[in-house]
Amino acid sequence: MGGTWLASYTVSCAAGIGLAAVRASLAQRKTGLRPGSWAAAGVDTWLGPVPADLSAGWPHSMSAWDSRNNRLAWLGLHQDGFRGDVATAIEKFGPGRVGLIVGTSTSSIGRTEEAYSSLTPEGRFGSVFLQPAIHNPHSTGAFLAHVLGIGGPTMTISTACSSSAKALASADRWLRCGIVDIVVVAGVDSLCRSTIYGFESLQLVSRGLCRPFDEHRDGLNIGEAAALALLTREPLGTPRARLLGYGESCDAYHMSSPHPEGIGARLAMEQALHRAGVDPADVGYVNLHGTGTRGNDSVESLALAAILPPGIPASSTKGWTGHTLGAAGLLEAVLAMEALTTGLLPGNLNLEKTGGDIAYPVIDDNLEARVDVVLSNSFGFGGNNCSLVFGRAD
Amino acid sequence: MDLFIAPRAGIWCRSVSGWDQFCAALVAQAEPQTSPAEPVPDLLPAREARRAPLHVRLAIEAGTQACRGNDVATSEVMTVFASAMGDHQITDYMCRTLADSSPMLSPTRFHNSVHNAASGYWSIGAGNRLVSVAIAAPPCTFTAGILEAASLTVSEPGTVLLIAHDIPAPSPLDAVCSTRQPFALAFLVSSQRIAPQWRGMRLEYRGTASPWPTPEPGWLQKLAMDNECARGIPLLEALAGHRPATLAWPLNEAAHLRLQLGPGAGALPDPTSSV
Repeated sequence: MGGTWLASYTVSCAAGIGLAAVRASLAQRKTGLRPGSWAAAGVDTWLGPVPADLSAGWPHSMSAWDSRNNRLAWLGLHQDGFRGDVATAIEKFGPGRVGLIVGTSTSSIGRTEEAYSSLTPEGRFGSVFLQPAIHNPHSTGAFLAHVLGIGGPTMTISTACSSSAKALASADRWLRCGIVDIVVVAGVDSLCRSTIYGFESLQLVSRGLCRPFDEHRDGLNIGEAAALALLTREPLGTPRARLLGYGESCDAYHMSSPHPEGIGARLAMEQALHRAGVDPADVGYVNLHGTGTRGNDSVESLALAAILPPGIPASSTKGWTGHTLGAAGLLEAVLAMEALTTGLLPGNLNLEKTGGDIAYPVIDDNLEARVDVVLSNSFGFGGNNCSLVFGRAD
Repeated sequence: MDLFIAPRAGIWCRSVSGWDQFCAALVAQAEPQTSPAEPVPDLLPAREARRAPLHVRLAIEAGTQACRGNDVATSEVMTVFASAMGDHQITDYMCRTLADSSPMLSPTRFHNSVHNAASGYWSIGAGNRLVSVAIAAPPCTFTAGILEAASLTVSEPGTVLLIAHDIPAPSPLDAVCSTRQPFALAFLVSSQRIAPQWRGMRLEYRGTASPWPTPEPGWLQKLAMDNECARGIPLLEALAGHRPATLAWPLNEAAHLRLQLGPGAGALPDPTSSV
């Protein structure tokens, strides 16, 4: 099997800051979700804020880059030695041979919301918010390129909740085309009013803990995360996993509801497995999109049942992290890759009784098993889908 | 990367609403004294076409022109949507509404607020289930768009439609964003020669600085300053003029993308010094 290499990765989310903390939460089946705990939102729901004071390590010299999203990216960057790994790669290959692709749905919109909530009497931005680098979709991409000293191409992919999964697919293409030798891939999305009130307006927010695939599931919990990975054409250091394949599709159906037969989801999974050269029966674990909404979970299970033989362990980890939107693709790709290296397959949290409309059963308790191939799904608004297949590095 | 580019592009701005009009304006060396109505692209059902945001309609109009102008089906192209700033009008609506203590957002406008809204509408309107990427990379969004489109068509079988589109920033966003005119362009690239008229094109990533290419006449120069997607106009000029060209667009302060467009139909000769 071919494939590009994951030389390094790290995640920070509600379930923990850095891999060790997240592993512990997964093993202990301890959710990071909390009731209505994020101050700026008046919506009755549970949320997944990162358990950290984001102002603590933020350098005051970087006020031009200041936003919650960039503070979260900064926090994530400094876990698991990731920043050092990037520096080592840049030193080895040269800054111009290293690219950067960020996947995000909200970028720094939280900062723009703040600016609007304190406009001057003339209706203009206050001086503290005059940050041209911040109020656009590429804010975190430009920020990370700046702090990491990336000299190659830098780009943001923003396709809602498939964003950072697709960042890996595009990074894989950049490497195979020989544009660069290394790509830093990031998924960063942070809590903000746009998404909390937006999903509330669509009646997709759960009043309690999200319960993916449960009979009584009633919506999602919004979370936030910074996930970062180093994708390389040749193995670098001690690689953690290989990206074997990806599949990308559109539903051609509706802006905010999945295709009822899961056609787009099926296409993405089929392509990813085909590209990876993996027989569906050889998949050892599936990290599902599994948001906890009635529609997504039902349709995703239908697509899964059409593609995979019965009995493959599958689960959503959103019961730990919430739906981290544009960061979910890479966050959950890393959680799937973790199953390759730790042998822990996280069983779905908050699943009491599987819904009658769920066509493919998910595991409701942690399993330990050696797995060689894992699949991760991410589906977004606009009917934009991406599936990823990873294999062991050894 | 060696590819082919379709001979006709799509374009929409305040004075030009199609490829033939753009070519005529280049020959006349003057901006047309017309103001086309805002596009209502027929790729979308009539109701959707009227309700869809301008940011979406501009993209779909330019993309539809590029496909139809080259007899390529809108349902059979992979797509890259490049927009530096996303939909400013919706950003303004969302942030204004959210400044209220108990905001009530429109669910439709919320789902239209995603950066890939145009991609979603295109997929639905064209019945297109192929890969679609929505990107941003200001101030180099157009450059990143070509790079993404090229790497996509070199990696996957098939033709890629690149659409670059942005709309002006309303107040107070105009204080932090310099987009002043609406603009969209679109063109098709493929690793295969789809039709005899498709022109050879070679792209190279280079780790050195480069200035922006500038369009010829004044009104197009102004457009390229007012909307970063219009920095792609020099490529459209070379296509319209049926002439070879070597162009370069910065990717950042220390790297650029070099594009060679062949003299006419057919592939470029084998490179002697391709990266």
